[in-house]
Amino acid sequence: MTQPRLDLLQGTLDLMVLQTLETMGPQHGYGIARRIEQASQEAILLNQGTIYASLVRLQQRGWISAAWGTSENNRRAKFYSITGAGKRQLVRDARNWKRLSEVIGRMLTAEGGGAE
Amino acid sequence: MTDPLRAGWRRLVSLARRRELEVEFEQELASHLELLIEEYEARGLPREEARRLARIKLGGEAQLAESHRDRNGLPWLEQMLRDWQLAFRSLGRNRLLSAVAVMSLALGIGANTAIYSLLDQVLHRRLPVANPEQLVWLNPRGPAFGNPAGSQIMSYPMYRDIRDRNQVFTEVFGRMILPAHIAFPDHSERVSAEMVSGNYFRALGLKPYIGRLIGPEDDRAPGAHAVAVLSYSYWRTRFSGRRSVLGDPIFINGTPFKVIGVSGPEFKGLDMPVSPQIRVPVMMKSSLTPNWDELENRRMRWFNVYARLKPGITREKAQAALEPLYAGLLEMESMEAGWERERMRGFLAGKLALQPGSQAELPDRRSQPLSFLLHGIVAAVLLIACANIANLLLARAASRHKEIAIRRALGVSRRRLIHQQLAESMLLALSGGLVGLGVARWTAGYVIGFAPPEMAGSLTPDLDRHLLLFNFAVATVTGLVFGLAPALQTTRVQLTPALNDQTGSAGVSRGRNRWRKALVAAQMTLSVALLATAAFFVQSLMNRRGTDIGFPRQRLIAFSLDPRLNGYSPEQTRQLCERLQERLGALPGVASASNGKFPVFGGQYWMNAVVADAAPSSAHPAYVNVVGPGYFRTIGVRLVSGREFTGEDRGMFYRAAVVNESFARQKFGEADPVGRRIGLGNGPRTPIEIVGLVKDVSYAWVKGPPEPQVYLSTLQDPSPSPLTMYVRTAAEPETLFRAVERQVREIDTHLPVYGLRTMESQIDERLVVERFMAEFSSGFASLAAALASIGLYGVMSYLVALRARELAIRMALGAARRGILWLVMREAMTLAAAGAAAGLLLAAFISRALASLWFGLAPHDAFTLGSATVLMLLVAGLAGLGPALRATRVDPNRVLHCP
Repeated sequence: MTQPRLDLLQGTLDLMVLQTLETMGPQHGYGIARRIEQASQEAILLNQGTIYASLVRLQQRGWISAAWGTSENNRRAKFYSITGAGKRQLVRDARNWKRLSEVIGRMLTAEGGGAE
Repeated sequence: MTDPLRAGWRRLVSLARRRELEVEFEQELASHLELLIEEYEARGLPREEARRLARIKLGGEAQLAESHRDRNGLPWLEQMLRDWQLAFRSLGRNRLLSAVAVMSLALGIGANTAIYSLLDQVLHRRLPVANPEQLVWLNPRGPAFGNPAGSQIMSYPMYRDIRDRNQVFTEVFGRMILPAHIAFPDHSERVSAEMVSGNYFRALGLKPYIGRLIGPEDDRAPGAHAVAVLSYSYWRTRFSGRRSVLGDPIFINGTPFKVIGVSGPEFKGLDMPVSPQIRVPVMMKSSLTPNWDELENRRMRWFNVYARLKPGITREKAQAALEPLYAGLLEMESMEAGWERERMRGFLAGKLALQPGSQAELPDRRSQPLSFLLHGIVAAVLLIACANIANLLLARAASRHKEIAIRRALGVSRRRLIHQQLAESMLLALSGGLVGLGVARWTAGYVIGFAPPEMAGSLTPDLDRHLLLFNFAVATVTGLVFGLAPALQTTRVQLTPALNDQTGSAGVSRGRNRWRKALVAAQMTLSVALLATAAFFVQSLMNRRGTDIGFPRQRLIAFSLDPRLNGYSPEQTRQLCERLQERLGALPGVASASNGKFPVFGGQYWMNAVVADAAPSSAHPAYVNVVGPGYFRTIGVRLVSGREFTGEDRGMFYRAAVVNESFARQKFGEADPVGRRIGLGNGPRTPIEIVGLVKDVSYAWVKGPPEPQVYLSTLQDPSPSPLTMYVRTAAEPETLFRAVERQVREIDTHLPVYGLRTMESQIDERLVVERFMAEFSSGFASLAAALASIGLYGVMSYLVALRARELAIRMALGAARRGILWLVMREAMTLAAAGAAAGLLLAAFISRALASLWFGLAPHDAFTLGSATVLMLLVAGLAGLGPALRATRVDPNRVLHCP
């Protein structure tokens, strides 16, 4: 927790949400936010409300769908799940992201930069 | 469906269930918050602390809800609707102010639309022919007939050579417009005819309305193709649109022509103002110009030549390609003329200019600056109106300064606020545009009322789609212009000072007031320039009207005859002239009658070199007119010595002359010229004896000192047609019109009378441009001054309200009311004076640029410029007085005690 918080790059939140829904199955907003924080080992601390901007965006593109359900503690909550189109998009985005991070990693190593 | 499209569709769908979605989102957030609280409680935090942290972790609910709303639905559409609703309400609250704003915009936009419409009809509209952009006008530049500007016309052989020997045009065609007499069974009338080359209609790509049009096969041999095409409107008015007219003979200048067709209703001619009623092949020229033929004379220029460019060839390319051909033609012509070298060199330097032929040309070169001026005047009025509205919106936004700051603090984006303000200005502008359509129709009708009849016929005040578009565009731009600046200004808010401000409306930066003042000063500038322009026109008109024309203009009738077109020989014309003069003189109510060749103030003139006493060195150009017996008595010009022409001054050529005092002074000094001899031309030609000396009279309304004039006798004129008859009456002249026409009819039923009117109305007709410009510019200058005063009034009121506290303190400290009055007035007058000073400069510039339009005025006429400035300052003073008086009535007790 001593490391500074990571700022989110544009579009990365969408990718994280899709990945979360892909691995965890249908989740409500709180669950998604919590999962992202945990998966990043708290390196990413969200202002959790911002997750909803991403959720609306993904819904409008048809990559996720939403339905009302009941949460683990018996509360009414909106559950989001990834759609077929969303899965395909996730594969594409994940591939792009990997390539990009490899390239950046290579560049930083080659220049002997502060990879430490 | 592509992603953006799908997203848009979903947004649209969610728009329909917006309320539902909002509630859902609230629930979703609430549930999220609960889960967060539970998480913190699970870590052992007390409930209240857990709730606090959970709130922080989630983020501001209001902002989240707002951004969620923005993402769902089509926020811009909803917001736009809401903005317009708001705009309607806010304008509705202030009905009077809104009405004034809309009206001033309507006047501005309407006037612009009207002027644009008319100039568009006259100047800019492309000819209704096939591919008008390919048309070029072949305009010879360089000395011809001593006219260094170029004649703009060609000889027929030159036309034919260019037509047959160029490689850049698909068609080369030409025409000449000239008057013709058309005979009907019981009368004749004078029309405008166009002699056209055989390929004229084909080159323009025109189709007949009925029958067929003139084609190349109708234009092969001189005198062999007596066929005519009627214009649509002439066919409708004179032949009641009868189809059976095809094949009928029509008598043009006494020659029977066969009517072969009618041209389409949309085609008026190559130049809008004059639309010929009838067209005939140019090979029939001898019938149309009975007294001169010259079809094959290379030295005689009379043909307007146009061409259609081959596809892919530009005007510049064609012009370059024609250069060698044209140079060769000039050389051929100069060899025929057999000039000395010097003259030949200048002639050979002439060039052929290719000008765009797609637009109808205005014949009057004076119209160019005028159209520019008309555009300028209406644009200036619109700008002044805009400035008023910008100021109004600035003031309104300033009063909402705090509201805007609060809304910004609550997270409303600057863009939203700008949109909201723009909605208001757009609403104003578009309403103004809508009302402006009515104004435009009225203004256009009013302007058309001034147009000469042959031009008015082709003009319409009606608005077409094209104009609606223009109107809408002007309104939109207007709205943006006066709306955007205030919107940008007022939404640039510094939150803390604005929110801490106690007075509720101050906290307005000095910069913004400077803006406001600058706007008012600019209004003053434009108004002074407009007032000065108007003053110049009014002064010029008064100068013209007040000019001593040298004879009494009342109770004088003038009308014209062109007997040569009816086949009269010169001798027959002279006889007609004498008979008519006798009959007119015998009419009851007529004092005397006579005739002249060039109608007084008719705009035409004859200038000729005149020598005295057979001495070539004394040759000077003089204005020449040919007049009948009793002319000076009829017109009312005093005879100084000798006699005027009588029936005895007759023969085959000029023998007797009457000269005016200017001529006599130039040629003979103070000696009596009667009995001396003069000759026309440079050499010692036919001796003409001076028989009389008359006072100076203006000839064709030339500026400056009276010019030397020589009068010759009609009865000695070798070509006396056309002629203008003058009738001096004792009774009201209008009552004699019918009787006068009957006299002509009784001598020859088929001789059309034209231009029948009183001298007064003829003079007024000559002044039509001056009258129009004086009225038009005065009207709009007054409007501009009124609008600018409203602007000054508004800004001063605002500034006084802003300074209420300061003024109250001054008064509490013992300032006199007069001092306060002076304080405010000084500010108002400084503004007005600064604007007026700039306006004066602008006006001086305009007056120099337009000096040629004005009569009897120096370009920087101090009186005219000064009176415009003083007038504006007076009006500005009145406008400033209201707020200043209000300032003196500030009650320190009330102002200083309320927060």
